[in-house]
Amino acid sequence: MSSFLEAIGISLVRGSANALENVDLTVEKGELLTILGPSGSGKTSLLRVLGGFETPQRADRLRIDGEDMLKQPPHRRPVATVFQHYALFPHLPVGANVEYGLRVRKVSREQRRARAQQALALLHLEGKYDRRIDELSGGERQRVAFARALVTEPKILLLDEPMGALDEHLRKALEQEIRTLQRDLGMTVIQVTHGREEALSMSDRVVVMNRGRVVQTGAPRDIFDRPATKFVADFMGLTNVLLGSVVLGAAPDAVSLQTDGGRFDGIWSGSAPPSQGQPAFLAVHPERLRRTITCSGNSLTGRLRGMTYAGVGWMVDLETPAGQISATISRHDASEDIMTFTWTPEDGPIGPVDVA
Amino acid sequence: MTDRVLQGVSRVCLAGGFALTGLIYAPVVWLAILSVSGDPLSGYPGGWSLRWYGALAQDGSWTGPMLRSMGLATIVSALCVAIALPVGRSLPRLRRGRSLLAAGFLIPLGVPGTVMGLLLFTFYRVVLGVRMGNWSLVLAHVVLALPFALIGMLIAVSRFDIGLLDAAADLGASPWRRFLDIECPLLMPGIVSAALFGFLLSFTELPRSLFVAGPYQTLPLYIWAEASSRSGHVPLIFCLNTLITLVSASAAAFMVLSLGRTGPR
Repeated sequence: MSSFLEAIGISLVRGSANALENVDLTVEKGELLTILGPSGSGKTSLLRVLGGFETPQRADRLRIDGEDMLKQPPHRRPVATVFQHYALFPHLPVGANVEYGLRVRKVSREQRRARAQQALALLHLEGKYDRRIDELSGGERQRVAFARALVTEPKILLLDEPMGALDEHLRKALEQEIRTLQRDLGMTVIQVTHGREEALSMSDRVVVMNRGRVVQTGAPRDIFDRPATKFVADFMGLTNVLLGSVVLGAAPDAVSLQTDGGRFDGIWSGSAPPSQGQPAFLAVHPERLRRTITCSGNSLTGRLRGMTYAGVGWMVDLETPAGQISATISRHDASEDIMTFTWTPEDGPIGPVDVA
Repeated sequence: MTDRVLQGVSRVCLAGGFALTGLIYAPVVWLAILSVSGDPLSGYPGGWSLRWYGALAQDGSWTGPMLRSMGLATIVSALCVAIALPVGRSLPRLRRGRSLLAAGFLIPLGVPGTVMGLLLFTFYRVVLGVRMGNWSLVLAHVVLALPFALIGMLIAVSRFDIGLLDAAADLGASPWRRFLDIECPLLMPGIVSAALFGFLLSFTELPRSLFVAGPYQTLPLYIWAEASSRSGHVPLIFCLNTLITLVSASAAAFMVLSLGRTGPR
């Protein structure tokens, strides 16, 4: 069975650089998929290819709901985009902005108005129909952009860093709202972002991109707990990274990492099976490290190098035989400067070191 | 201390600026005052009367040149929009040669009118074999007005966010609808200023017209000829000039306001 959106073998060259290199992306109907990556990773280019604003130099397939999209110009594609800076038409009032997609589809004036009012109500913008765009706040503009995209009932809604220009507080509220809307309307949404938190909290599935390639695809928990490469581990904020070589264990994915500072058990998270002695990393989130006094299982002992107050507790930096690590502690006794931390193998994914 | 000095300097500059605008506008006002005086040719106002305006209304010799100049200015204005709009919208989208091309379009600004008139005359007449008359005037006036029209258009274009066209396309608008619904209204100040520059510059143009008009008499040529020959007619010219100045100055004011208005954000 084929997917709702199929983008297979997409390559895009811009200038002399490869913006996209043989990227595959499939999305199911009703899914909220997030493309996550740093700037320059190709995530926005991929979205622009889907919208029709960039023409890939190579593409094996680009289909939406079974229909070929490669030859279709942007205005004939069944997608609608919420642009990063909203791109609202400054010379039209809110209502005319929202109705624009219906106007070019020659929908009658009364119907246009009714549907625009409905979309505005859905986004809590009742009574803003006649407002000018420059009278709106950032959050309101973002909602108008959503209403404008939704009103045409696109098969896929594309969101280009929709939270980028909003402050933290507003972002959190809108994340929830988008998610609720998407579930209620059964919409298929593809979102592009560089924000790890919104990717993890909102998505059914996450695609991590780096340098024009897809490096990992999976559910938010899989991406966070089982980063397939060191890049993904770094990007997910798993800042404690130990380097060494793989020691195979009893089960296929129960492997250990041999480092200069000892041997640690973890779970293999690479996409290809591990091999004995392969160069690898082990990544642990600072929050997953627990204070201990015994030295059994995975444990690291080190000397305190620095400490930062972080509200709920302290973030400490330790110098250990295996390298520098960070951890969080809730209570602190001024006299101690040697600490031991432990973690479970499940919290320590082991993966292959990226080949450059 | 320095603050106070700077403040003083800026006050002096401002006062100087106002004095200069006085130098520009005082003669216009003086002309208007003389046009309602009994004996304008004496150079002194007094003996108020509207009789010269009455005489102007009676005299029919200026209506022909006036109509001709208006027709000419309308064509020049339309051509300026037709050229400045496509050139202005594509210039910023060029990847290479953008500044070179822009400079190429704007450099004619620096060529003196009489020189340009002579150049156009010799080239069009001798090399291209163009007959001197209305079309050579259209050409000469477009050459004069285009850089101005283009500057106005480039100001409007530089404020236009090309992303809006992507947004319109994304919502289903064809290229033509995008142009009509989004680009045209947002570039309107540039279009209006290109049209007005074309009209006003053509309507008031003298030095180039002297060379390329052939037998065709435009209003500035008529005024020039009348003012320098038949002294009995000169008082009428005062009135005519006052009226023309009023109309074209208000058009210019409208253009400056529409271009200077901060674009919607």
